[in-house]
Amino acid sequence: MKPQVQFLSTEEIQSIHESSLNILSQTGMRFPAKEALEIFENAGARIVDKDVVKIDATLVAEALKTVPKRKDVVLYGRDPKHDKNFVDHLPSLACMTMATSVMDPFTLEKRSATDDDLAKLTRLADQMECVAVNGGLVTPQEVPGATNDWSTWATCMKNTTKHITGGVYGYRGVLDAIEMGALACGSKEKFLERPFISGWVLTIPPLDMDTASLEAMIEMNRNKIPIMLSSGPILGTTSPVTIAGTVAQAHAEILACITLSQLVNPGAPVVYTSFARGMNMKTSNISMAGPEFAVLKVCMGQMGLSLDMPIRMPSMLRDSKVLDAQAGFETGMVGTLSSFVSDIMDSMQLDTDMVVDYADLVFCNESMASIRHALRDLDVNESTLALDVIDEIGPAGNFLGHKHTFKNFRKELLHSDVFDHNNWERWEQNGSKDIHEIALEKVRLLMEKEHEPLLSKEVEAGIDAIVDAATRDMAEKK
Amino acid sequence: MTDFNAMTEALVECDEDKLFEMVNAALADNVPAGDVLNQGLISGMDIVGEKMENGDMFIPEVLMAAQAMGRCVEILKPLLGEEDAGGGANVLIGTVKGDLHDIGKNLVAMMLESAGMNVHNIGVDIAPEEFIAQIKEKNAQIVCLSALLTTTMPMMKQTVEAIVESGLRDQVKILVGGAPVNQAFADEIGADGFAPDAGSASKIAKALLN
Repeated sequence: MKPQVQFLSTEEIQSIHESSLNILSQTGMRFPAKEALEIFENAGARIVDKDVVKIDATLVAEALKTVPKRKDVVLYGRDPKHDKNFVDHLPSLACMTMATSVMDPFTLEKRSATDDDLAKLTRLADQMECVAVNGGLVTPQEVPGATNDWSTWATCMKNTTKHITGGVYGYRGVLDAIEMGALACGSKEKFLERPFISGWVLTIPPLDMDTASLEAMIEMNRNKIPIMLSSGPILGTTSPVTIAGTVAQAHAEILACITLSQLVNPGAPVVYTSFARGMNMKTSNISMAGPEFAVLKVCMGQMGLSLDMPIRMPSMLRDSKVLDAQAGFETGMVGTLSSFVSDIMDSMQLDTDMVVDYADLVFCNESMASIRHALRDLDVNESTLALDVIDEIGPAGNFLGHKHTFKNFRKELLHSDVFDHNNWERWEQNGSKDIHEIALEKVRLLMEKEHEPLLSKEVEAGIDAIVDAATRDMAEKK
Repeated sequence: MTDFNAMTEALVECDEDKLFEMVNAALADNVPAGDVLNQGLISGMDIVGEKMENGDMFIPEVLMAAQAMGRCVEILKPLLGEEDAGGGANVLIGTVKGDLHDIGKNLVAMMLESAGMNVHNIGVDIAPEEFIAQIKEKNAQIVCLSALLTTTMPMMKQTVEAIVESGLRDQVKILVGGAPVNQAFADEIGADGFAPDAGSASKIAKALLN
């Protein structure tokens, strides 16, 4: 059977879903964008207090009919070999976005992230087997803030053929990303057939959104670019301190956005996500790696799965500042629990979501491989029971030299060359290295590899021109 | 013409049936059995050994390759001259008296066999005098002592001392292993070598022989 972890029973999921519908019809949600309000109004939703939309359950139910189900969603790669589908549950990593610092892989010091870091990290993530979705792990700090989304898209497109996810700002952000994608794959028509990007859409809990995000979302829906739709309330701050109430509110916000997306364009793909999290009640620092975060990821994942939607959860972020025992535990606990319900998991950042350590890419990739191995469906059949082999070997025998072992050991046992499973002597022979040293060595080796450019000089120049134009226009606006 | 490289490749790929077929075909073509053994099989096992050391091959694969080779050697044996049929070193392996642990010692035995040695696995709870009797009987060149308990480690020392007293110490190399054993202990009791795991035992045994 397939292993499962559940915090919510079927009845509880139903009860929370109905609570969310009540929130939307009674309290409503704020949608401060002209186009969004028009769309809701035309669909028969009630608008109060200028821009608060009260959405009836029937409207939500209609949207849930057309929002694409797991089997119908694909996060395309520019190269089709990297397509991520959701037919099977194979938990994979996605690049979390927008960290501001890196741990330099050679000086081992923390410093501001640059565009060169972004290019290198995107190339590395492109090579990591368990990374299904690439993206702007860091935001280059030397680029002007208003257009760093643009330059992030540009650098990502130049350095990966995997699916790319990231932040998009307003209508123009989406349209410009589409233009860049069209250049990278040859034409706008080709791009829209297999859009290899998706954009983040974040609500602002409780029950609010900002105009630019709404406009970006509507533009993505129109073009059927998948949206990574998240509500990320903070327990006791932007939602009730209790898990159930927080899940109900976050689910309500997601349902409201799904409703809008399907009114814009029935069949517009949505990936169900939640950054719901806790907070340190002494300092107000948020946590994205504590136990309540893990519970929230599973609960929100269960809510999304109840709608048969693809699930993405940010569950390999670590509050720890360095790749130490705390980081290891956070990776293991949140990563493993969340993997039971998530298809893609934002990862590879420390200090919650501020720092990228190059070595951590290798560590997270290997952690994901371990988790995947642990979460495989367990088969009980004639071959795996191996009664004939047991009989053949008999009492006091040994299975190591048997064909059954030879044929099956590679898939039954995970063979890691990152995690150390040797005895003390062999570990010493190998240099007595801890996990950070091992991961760092491996990432340095990967960085030494020379790569052919993924795009022609002309295409790269075309992409840069889009960034330059946006930068000019933003500066003029100021 | 016989393609020894293809034979070597089949062995490294643990493809027993293919290897068996190739060896038979070579013999049918009147290729000398000694050439098949040396250029096809033994050179193949050398590559297997290297790959094992580099971590490119796993124990079940090494054993499978060794089994494939063993099946072929059976048909070569009657055709081999004295010189070629000499075989590998005689190795004695057992767990010391008072200790009933079997598994790790058996794994080491399998790995030594796969490296072409004639392994005599004499079991568990073996007294020093029994080791000595067997060294003589089997004309052993290597003796492997296993202990898995800190309480039976002193018995390793006694066994080594007994071998010294028997006058056989110069005839044999002594290799020790087991979870609580380490290089320092091996040095302390006067053993010639220590293998931290089954994977490295055959490499160390080979080194002791040379």
